Amino acid sequence: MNENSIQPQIDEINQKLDLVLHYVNQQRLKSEAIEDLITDVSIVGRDIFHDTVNELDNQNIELDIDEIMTTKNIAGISVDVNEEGYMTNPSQWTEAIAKELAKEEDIELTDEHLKVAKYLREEHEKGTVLTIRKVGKSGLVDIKGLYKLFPGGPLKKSSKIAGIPKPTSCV
Amino acid sequence: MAEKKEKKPLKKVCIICAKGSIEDVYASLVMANGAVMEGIEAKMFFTFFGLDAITKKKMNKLHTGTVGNPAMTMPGGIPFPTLLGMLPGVEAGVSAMMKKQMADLDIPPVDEFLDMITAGGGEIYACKLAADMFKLKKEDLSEHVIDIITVGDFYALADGDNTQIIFT
Repeated sequence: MNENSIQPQIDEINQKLDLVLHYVNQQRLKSEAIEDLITDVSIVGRDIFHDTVNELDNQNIELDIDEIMTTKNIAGISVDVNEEGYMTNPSQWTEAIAKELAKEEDIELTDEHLKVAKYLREEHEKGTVLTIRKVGKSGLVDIKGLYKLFPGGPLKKSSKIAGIPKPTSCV
Repeated sequence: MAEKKEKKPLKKVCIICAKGSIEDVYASLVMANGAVMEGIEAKMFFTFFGLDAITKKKMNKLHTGTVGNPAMTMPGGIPFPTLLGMLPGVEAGVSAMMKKQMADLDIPPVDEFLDMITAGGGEIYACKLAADMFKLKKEDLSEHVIDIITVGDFYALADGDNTQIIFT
């Protein structure tokens, strides 16, 4: 091989090298751009988060973790429930669901239980704040009876079985 | 953080009620009732002026103090002048107003509240020393009162794990 034939080969290799370098440089710029984008987005995201929190605070809105719901399959039906297992959509309630929910509380559902559950549902629909005193005065069952039907949680357990939200009253 | 904390729920509360004004008595009653509603055993011990809450003749006629209560305000939030509380009739008016506000929240009168607590398995006791001092006998007290007991007896009731004594 002589000098003349090597020169074009060197040129060709140089060209290829330039191409590769150009390509590498492009990659570098691209990844830089992406990094910048990520930084920007996370700044924006953080701002959005802070603004939302502040705005919610300003408006006195408190997000209740219980409100965030999941679904659960009860008696073959997909039912919306919150973290504590209270149904969040009372209209999905059926007696079969009540029976399953009662079983979870170790309660064998009877007509007595159902009467109370139906009463609670009616009152809840009217927007009444439920208390055991109200149930005791409903004429369905006295307070002692209510404790017997739903041991260890007369209002909580009955509300759960009735498919209405957890009671908020302290009495 | 990976270590999971074992939950040890409260099993029993022993609540001592030593004062006889509406708010003090109701604080004890609400806490006891709240406990039995959560399936927590509740024992109540009434002593000194708290005895009024379980004395048949007085239980539904409790009053609130209008003198020397810095937390008290007039309707609208203006501080309640102590001097005003000394005027005849003012204390009765304030007490009636408090009772009405509680009735609006479906909070029952004292005798009915005791019915509710005992219906849930709560137990009511009176303090022997205070009963002797006020010359009260068991028949003067609500039928829900299980017994008139000594402080030592009360502490004996507070045995067991996960038990708390609350003084109001």
